[in-house]
Amino acid sequence: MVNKPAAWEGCHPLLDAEDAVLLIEDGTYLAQQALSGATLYALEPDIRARGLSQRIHSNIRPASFDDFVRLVESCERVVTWSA
Amino acid sequence: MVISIAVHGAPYASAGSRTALRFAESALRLGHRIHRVFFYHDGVLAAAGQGVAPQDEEDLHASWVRLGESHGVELAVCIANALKRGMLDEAERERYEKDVATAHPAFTIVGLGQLIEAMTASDRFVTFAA
Repeated sequence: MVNKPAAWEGCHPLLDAEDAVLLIEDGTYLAQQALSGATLYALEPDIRARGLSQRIHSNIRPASFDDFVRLVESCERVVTWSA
Repeated sequence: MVISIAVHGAPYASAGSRTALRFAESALRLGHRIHRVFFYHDGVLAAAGQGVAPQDEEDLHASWVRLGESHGVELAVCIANALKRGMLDEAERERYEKDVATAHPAFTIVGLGQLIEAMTASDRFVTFAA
């Protein structure tokens, strides 16, 4: 989970291909660019609240809160990155 | 699945308290159990029982109380962070001889051990940063 754009730099070098990253809150600003290193999701209500709906890069999947819960189910550990 | 949550940010100042609420509501709707919500750092201010939210804004305190009371979710407030921010329940008010108990009774004031217990007793632990 990444909740601020500046947190990406700390998180990115540690990612494995099988990891999932969920961008939330101001972290969704990152979804405007092509990010790599893991499967990437961005929390849809936070995208909408920031007017980013038309600017999301094609390799980032929008996620609802229910999707957020399902991601937490599927990942054994959840790490929060914040700047 | 048993899930516990930590909330580090103050309501309104940080988005984390509201994000955590929406996550908890979804988790409960999908059939999971929330073992404990642990309010840490400025997150403890969610317990403030005397706040009045503007009519056109969500009352985050009231939403947490509703979540706790309607789903039996434990709302745990870190004692060290709570006391220095003026967040006292009736027992702490009496102990420190203050005028008013500021924390709503739906929240319990606990030690840091309850954060560790939540991590070990839950299948998943999710931290919402400030």
